[in-house]
Amino acid sequence: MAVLPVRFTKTMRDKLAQVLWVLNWISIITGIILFSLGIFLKVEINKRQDLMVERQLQSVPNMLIAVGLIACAINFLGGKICYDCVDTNKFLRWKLVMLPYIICTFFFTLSVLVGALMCYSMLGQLEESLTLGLRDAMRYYKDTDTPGRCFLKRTVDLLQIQFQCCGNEGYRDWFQIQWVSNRYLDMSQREVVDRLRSNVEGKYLTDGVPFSCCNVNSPRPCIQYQITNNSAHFNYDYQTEELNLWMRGCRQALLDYYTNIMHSIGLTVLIIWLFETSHVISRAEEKTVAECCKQTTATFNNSSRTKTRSSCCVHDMS
Amino acid sequence: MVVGKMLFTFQKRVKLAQGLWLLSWMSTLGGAVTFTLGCFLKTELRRRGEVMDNTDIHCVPNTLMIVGLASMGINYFSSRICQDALDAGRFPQWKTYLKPYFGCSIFFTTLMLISVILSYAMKGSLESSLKIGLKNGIRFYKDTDTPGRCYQKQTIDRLQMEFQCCGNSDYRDWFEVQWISNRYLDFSSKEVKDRIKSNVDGRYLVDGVPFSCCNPSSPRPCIQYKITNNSAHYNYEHETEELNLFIHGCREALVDYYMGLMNTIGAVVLSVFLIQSSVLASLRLLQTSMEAVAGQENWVEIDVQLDVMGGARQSNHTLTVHNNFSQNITPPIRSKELGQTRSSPAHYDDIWHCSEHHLEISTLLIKVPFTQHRKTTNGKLFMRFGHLFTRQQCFRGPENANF
Repeated sequence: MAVLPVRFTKTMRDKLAQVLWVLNWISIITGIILFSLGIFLKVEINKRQDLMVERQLQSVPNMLIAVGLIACAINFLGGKICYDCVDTNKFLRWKLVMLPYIICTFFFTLSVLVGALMCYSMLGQLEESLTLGLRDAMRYYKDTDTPGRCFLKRTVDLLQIQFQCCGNEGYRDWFQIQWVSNRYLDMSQREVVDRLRSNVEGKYLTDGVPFSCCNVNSPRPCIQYQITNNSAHFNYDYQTEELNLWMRGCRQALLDYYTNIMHSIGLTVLIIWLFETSHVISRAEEKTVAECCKQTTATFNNSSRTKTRSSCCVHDMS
Repeated sequence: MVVGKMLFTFQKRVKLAQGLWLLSWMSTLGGAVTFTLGCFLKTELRRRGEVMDNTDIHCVPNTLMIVGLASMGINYFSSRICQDALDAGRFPQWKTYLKPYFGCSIFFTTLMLISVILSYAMKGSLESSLKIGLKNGIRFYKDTDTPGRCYQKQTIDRLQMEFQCCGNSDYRDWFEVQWISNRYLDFSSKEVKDRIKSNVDGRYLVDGVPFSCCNPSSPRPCIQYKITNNSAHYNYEHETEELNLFIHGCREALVDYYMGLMNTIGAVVLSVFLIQSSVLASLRLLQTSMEAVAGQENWVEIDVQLDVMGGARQSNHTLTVHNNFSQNITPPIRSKELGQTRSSPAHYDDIWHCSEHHLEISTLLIKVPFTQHRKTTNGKLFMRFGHLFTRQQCFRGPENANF
């Protein structure tokens, strides 16, 4: 009994086998695509690992990589089976494996769907991880002499330059932390001592930002110190000045970037899932038809040379 | 003096033609690669076109693109020629075009070599162009309100950040130029007035650099003003400080970048040049070998009686004619049914029939190239026909058979 109520002649079966062969090769390519998408996502997350607090973010790219590899293996095996199906004699070899193979394919397709859904759900975790990670990175910006944190300054500077952003939510985040190391502060100066005394924790807070916050498109040289002090600079009003520093916060910038990536990957995986589902159905169809036709062939060979009809396949006289 | 006149046997000719066909397709690919590299180089040069004074350096990518296109055309024709070389009927049509074709090909191949040499030779021109362009860029840095120059600041800032460089030769170039616009200078302040009076041109010069010179790898926050003043900053000595700003000048960084690019491209184009030259040399060899066999104008008529192997009326329709001299056998004539009557003459490039069932032959008048035959014998005369021919199937009817 075939999956769909269609009668298959030998030529139709051959055509079905050919179509399946092509579909198998396309499936192998989609498996490779899944694998490379997983690798790409893993690389992108690892690149900014310093800015993220450890969460279960690695599970999504790992799943995509595993699913991609399994896709290649399953479809390669399926292609081999399909190639042998054309010849009813060779088909006998695979008879036992067919049913478990189809069940495996079904579960694999399910995991592709799960992978696609995980892509979308990852974004919430990512936002939380980024907020905490950026906050910590800015706090340790000045610790260029502490092992394990000495490259955070460089990372944050390059991030702000590349993504054209400043601080966590905005540039004012830099006003609340001490980003100038004590090594470069002259403790004998009165101004420094005043600033240190002006808050509870003894931090040297200024209304200044690092140079990486400077906006390249600004028509005037960058104002990075005494930002809120209008009188310190000629012809300057910090409330209306928009081009001097980057206005966007880095959390928002990174989130937008990763949202784009995740949406594209999620969409691609969904399309692949639809394709795989149709592929599985056609394979199941082919399997039952092949079995049915094999039985028909046996009866055909034993009886006279007339057309034999069965429920699923028509044998032509050669 | 004829270049490359060698005598090739038929087998060798076929192998040469096949090898040449493959090589010419590889060379077409090489030509496409050259064209792509030329386009890429041109794009890269145009991206930084604003800091270059002249476009002399663009002759290198332009030449590469022309040579790439020409090479694809040359090699396409070369593959067509060697495809036709195996067919004696079609090869003569190329005869008139071969000389100009070779002339053209040699010209463009030399041009390829010249482009490689140019890419090394234009370094000096590139450097001087960059020197002037960068000097102007730094001078007009402050003119963000002048039309035509308002993007200079952005260009220079992005350039310095991307190539990790500062200034023309080094960061001191910024000390000699007023890079802060007058719009942002408070002329009522004493300090500003002093600075403007301190030099002849009335420029506001500082020992400071723009923020784009700052090195992100520096452990301390960037010091971009009062760079030479050690006492203005705590724990700072500008002679030993290396990580604060970018040390390299932008001219040096850009020249290194472009020379690296052109060196790689030069190596690839050189290998394409070698493949192309070998294609042309092999084509010349093929041409002369074809001419060597085609120039056999002398014919001798001989009267020959041929026996079909195993007797007449044999259903085996293959008649092979071999040479019983000590020379190598070229592919034997296949499947000929010769004239039925005794008296009808035929020469070997006349009508040959092939029937599936039997052959009858008697006498045959055959025209043989003079250089090939030596003597005739009756009976099983083995003869070689040195003319290049394809393995034609036998066909029915009075069509002309080409050998």
